[in-house]
Amino acid sequence: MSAREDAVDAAVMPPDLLAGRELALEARGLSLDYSERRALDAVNLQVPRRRVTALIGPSGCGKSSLLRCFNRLNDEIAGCRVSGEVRVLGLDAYAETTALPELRRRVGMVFQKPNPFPQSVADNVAFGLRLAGLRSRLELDDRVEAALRAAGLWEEVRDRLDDSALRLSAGQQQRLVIARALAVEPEVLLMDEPASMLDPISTLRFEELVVALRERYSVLLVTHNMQQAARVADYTAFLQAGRLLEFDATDRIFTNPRLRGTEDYITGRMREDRG
Amino acid sequence: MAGLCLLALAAVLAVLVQQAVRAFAPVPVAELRWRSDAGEQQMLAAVVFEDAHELVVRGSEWQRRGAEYRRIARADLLQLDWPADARSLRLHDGREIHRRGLALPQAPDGSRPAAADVAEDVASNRLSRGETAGLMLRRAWDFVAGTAQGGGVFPALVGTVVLVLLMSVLVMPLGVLLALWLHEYAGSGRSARVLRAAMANLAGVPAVIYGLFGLVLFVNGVGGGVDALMHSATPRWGGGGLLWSALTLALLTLPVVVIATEEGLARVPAALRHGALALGATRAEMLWRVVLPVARPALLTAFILAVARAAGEVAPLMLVGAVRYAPALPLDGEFPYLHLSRQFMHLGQSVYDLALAGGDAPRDMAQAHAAALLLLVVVVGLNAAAIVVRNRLRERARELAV
Amino acid sequence: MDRLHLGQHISQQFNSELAALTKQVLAMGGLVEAQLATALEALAARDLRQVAHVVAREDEVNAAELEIDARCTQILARRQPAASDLRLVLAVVRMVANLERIGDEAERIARIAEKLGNAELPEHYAFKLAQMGSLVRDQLRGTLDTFARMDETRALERLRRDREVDVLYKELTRLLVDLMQRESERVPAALEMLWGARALERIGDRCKNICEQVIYLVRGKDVRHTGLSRSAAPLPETKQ
Repeated sequence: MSAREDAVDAAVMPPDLLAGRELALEARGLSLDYSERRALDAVNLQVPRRRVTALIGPSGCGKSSLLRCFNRLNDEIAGCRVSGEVRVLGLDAYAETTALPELRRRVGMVFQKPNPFPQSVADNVAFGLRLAGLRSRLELDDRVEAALRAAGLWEEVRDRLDDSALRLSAGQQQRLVIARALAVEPEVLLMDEPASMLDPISTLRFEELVVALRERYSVLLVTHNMQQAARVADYTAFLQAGRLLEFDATDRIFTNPRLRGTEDYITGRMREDRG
Repeated sequence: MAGLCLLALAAVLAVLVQQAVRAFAPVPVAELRWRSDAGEQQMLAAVVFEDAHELVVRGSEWQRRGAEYRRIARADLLQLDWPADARSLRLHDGREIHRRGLALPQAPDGSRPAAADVAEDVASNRLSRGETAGLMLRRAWDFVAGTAQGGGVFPALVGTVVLVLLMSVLVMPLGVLLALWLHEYAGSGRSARVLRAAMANLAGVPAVIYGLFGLVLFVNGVGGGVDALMHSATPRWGGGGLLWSALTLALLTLPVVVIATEEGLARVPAALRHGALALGATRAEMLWRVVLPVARPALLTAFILAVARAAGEVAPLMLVGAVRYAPALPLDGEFPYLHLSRQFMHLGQSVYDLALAGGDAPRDMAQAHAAALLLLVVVVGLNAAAIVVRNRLRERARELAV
Repeated sequence: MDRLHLGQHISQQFNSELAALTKQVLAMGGLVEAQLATALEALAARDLRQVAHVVAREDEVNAAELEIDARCTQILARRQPAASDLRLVLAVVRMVANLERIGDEAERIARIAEKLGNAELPEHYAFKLAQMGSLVRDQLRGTLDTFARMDETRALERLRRDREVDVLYKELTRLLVDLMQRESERVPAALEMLWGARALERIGDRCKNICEQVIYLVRGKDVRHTGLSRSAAPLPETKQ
């Protein structure tokens, strides 16, 4: 408990905000450098379990970079260096002994642009299950159906399971990739501006799904749509220029943020600094 | 650009066709009498060329590859008849002889061909257009499907196709693996840079040098080594053969395959890669399950380029296994069906031989063109097949990528 | 409720938030109604126990106002409601302010019962005041009912019935002024009673305001300061 308090800067987050809550994700003193610039600077972030936490902030503030630290997808980017500590479900994500595939199975991810594989709907959802070694046709079918139901897509695609996933609409594709992520039963879902390519109605459907998901999953959602954060998140973190400025309950952030910077951003008084 | 390429291709094809047709066209037969240094001579001969000053005629071929062409000035000509009962006979072994009437002619050594030897018997001077066309088609077919002894190129055709396919089977996995390593694992490391530079340079090395390399490394080195190990009395692997030729060509086309594949890999969206990784795929699983399937059209492009490059190469093959005359096909009904150590015939080699080494210059020249045309058809055919497959894949990919 | 299609949002949570909001407003309305009823009984019976009861529960009314306001703020900040949703939230904010004032007036009436103590006034004054009280109670109940049913036609009717309250109030005022002129020793009691009548008249006005908000939220038409309540004209047509 005391360790947790150490990691919290009282100026950033009310000290008792997450008291008694289990943490899904935690970053301590996390800095991230690309070859030429620093994207994250000593970020301390705590993401509670079974809640939706939104990451908001201006473009280039490091939201996505931070998100991708939790499943180490930043490893894919050449010249990207991470320092500090990242804990996923209590485990050190950057420890030598951490098996990446295992980590990534426990931390699902949904991307900005729906990225179904050019395969059938069913094969897309079964992708992670097959990776995990599941072979039984029956069990695969069951898990695929369950995942599609959880993503609210089953009714729409039950007759099209063998169709190419790329024939689905953008909104359906996004729910499909969520189903794909859910199929392997992760504990955490990372979402990187998942609704930015969707029309308003699909966006609302998607948000409704996110709200439903918090029953079972811990969700960390990057969005540049503040209203979206307001609608779906329990907690909101405001990032600016690679620093975590404020973390609080979403109600608080959107009605009475403690910092001027947050207020300026969410009320649209933001000056673009240095482009 | 595409129009220009098609135009060039059409021009090449037109020249080849025009020349090749002469290999199959029936030649009129004349009864000739003329003056020469040796006195007055007379013969029944095919007139292969004729203008205001001279004739070129070919008498009956009594020996294999023994056709004798004579050039006769019109001034020396005493008599020129086109008898209606003149006939040209083609024997199974490819020789052509002429006669008048129905009796089989007698060779200078007194022998006569048997009726069973006769493959074709044509009344050369009395052919209708239809008959001419039929004859030419039949001859063209005999040329393509016939055995080497009969003047056909079937063994060379089989040799070419088998060689190219075997080369593809060898080069594709190797090239794709190399491209995967370069693009996915090596990153921008030193070894990758060296390998890339090597690839770029290898692509510019003259083909015949690959032939020499193949001769030294595969035929003498590996092949000789294998023979020594197996204590075989006669060199089996230590001579030129299908496998060594395919390997040499594989080496030759490797840079093409690697470069084309790498380009294809680079076009696979990062979103798909990340999607697979984020689901817990290892790098190998991601490549195998997502990247390679998506890059399939690029792999086919690599295949097409490799085939195009390999099918036209002759020079290196002459050093490592292609021969003018091979006693057996590399592919037959005898176990193990594909005979990797056999020497084989190749259309390119046939073109070369017919064009340069033949005794029967005009007819061989025409056949060389016919063989060249066939080679072109094979290359274009293989490419077209691959292009059709690729386009179908791309179409599907496009449909999918809406 | 269905008239605004409140239950048909894609977001179930938004649905339940709006449903909870209206329910809470109705609950607060019920509370205020009970406060007024108790206050009037206390006045009639000069029952100090009931007075204490009203004063004690006034805190609940205030708390309800704060809670509903906070809820509205939250909905505005997090849901960015539009059109009928927006009108609902705005109307609720205004209605709740009016309800709270009604609560205040009810408390004032209860305290008058305390101040009057045993002071006697002629029977028919008390009768008139009770008559006015029951009319205003009926207005309040009816007003809350129009909100519960989202019925703008009845809201308009209620709006117009406020004149009856005004008529009674003027009548009572004249009577009390007469009394004060005639019997100066009864001035304090009469004055208290006048305050009571004035409080009831204010409650009538607050009900009117609430009815205007009901019309606004159902029809999207702001009928404040339009004189619509005085004319017999029907509501202007709006979109179906």
